[in-house]
Amino acid sequence: MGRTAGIWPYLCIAPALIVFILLEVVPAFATSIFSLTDYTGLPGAPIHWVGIDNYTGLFAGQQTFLLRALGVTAIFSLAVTIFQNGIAVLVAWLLNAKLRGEIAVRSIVFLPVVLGATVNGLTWYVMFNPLGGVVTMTLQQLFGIRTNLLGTPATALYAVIWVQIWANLGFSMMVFLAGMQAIPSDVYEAGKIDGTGPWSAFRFLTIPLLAPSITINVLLAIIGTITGFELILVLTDGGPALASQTLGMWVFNTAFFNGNRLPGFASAIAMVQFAIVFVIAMIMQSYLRRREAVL
Amino acid sequence: MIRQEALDDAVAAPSATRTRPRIKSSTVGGYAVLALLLLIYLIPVVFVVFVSLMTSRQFVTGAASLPSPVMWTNYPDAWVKGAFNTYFLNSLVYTFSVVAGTLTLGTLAAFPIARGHVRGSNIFYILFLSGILLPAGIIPQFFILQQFGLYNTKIGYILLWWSRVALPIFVLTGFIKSIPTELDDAAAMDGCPYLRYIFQIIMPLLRPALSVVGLIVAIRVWNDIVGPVIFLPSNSIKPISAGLLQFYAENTADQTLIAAAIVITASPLVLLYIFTQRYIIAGMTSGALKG
Repeated sequence: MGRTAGIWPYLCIAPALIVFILLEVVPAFATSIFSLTDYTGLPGAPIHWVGIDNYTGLFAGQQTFLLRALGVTAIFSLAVTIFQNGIAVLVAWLLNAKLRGEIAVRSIVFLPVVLGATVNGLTWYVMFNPLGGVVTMTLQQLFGIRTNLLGTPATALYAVIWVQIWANLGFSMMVFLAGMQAIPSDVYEAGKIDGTGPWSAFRFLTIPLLAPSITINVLLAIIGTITGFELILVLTDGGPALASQTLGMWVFNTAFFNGNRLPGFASAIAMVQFAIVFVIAMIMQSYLRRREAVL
Repeated sequence: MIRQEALDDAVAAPSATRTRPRIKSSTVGGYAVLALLLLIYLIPVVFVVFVSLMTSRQFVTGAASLPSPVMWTNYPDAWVKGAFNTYFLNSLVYTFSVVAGTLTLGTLAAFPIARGHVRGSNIFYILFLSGILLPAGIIPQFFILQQFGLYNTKIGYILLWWSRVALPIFVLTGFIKSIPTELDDAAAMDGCPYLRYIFQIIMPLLRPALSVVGLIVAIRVWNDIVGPVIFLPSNSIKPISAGLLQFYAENTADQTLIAAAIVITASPLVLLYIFTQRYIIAGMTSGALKG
């Protein structure tokens, strides 16, 4: 068929290739070019080369903001990665045991993954509402404090972390569950003959054999928390007082939404963000893969 | 590579006959954890539905009780006040055109690549595959759309989504490879034109794969929030996710209407989820599993 088709196979690839190159590949690389300009995003405004001004501005002039955003990103990323995966692996383990109601729990915990950031974010916005929100009322009943968790700099980031984990737990859980179901049952039978209890079976059989799922889940969580900011955008927009502004949120706000829009400068932040993701992904990848190989 | 059988396995319910690790003494503890988890996931859902039926006064004074009186009117109020029929229609347009376009572009590109009908088909394959890992260049995308006069237009936003064709091509290539090539040879003998062969023979055979990919893309488009906030600032062309956020920004004080708007936005997805849950879960997680 291929030999008689002439130019047709090429014509078939062309449309996908053109949109893909023009709107996906070129933009991915062009961020580095824009980071060397004073691009303002205003239609028709001239764009000038400014060399590494944006980078010196970022590392020298805006150093406090950079360190602040790095700190927030580190807390957000670490907390979400550790707790989301830790809880997910335990829940998947419970679901993989013969407990009733497994399907109901699975379906309901996965639901937020389908509902998306706006619905999830605003749902919790209502939950955290300082007047009638469930969370606020519960805290008042338990501790006698009336607080606006999302509106207080000291707590906003942790409220966002909670929602982020709530929204994505189902995804990690299903990846772990699929990984566990792929473990052949004779491994556990052999373990039983050797006298392993349920906990040691989990610790010494399930966890090591789950290594590929752990690698994927941890990498996705780290990359997702450093680059993604959908829930933060809906819940706090990085505030209050920059308390929940991660690097991704900062890029977005600087490029499109601060009073003084600076997409050129934002590109420089995006390059720093990309470098961090790249280095962490490489280190984690080799570390986790090596562990997989050892096991 | 994701193949038909692998997906079927993922879709099929876990077999009940499998011997799983037993939990004996800790069974009670296990149930306690699952019950707590259910509460943490159900309370927000139930609470938002309750609030959507309350008066604003009740939300402020006694939100911890059943709605009374039940304010069904919150729904039409939110719908009209937020101009949700515009948002809803826009979302339908975006979702339909992105899914149809992605599946068409994806199949057209995946077939010659899977069959090696183009020179260097492996290079094309790797090129598209690398797209899955590329960082999103939102600032250059903004610049390019602006240059072509496509910023703040429906077609510009749809084109951006069409460019995310890498993952569909990756999945579809795998499926096409599992279709025997004898079929191609027979069609070539009969003088069946290339395009017609793809549309009339290959696409119907790909239906299981196309429906899962289409379902996942549809959910992503429906839920996209960063894209519309950047590229669709005009209210008249916003999809429902961005419309909901806009509604929230304009009615921050009116929690009961916001809750009703949340339920309005979420309900099509909840319905879809109820009927296609297995395919959605398998489709969304299989990308991670085969990575």
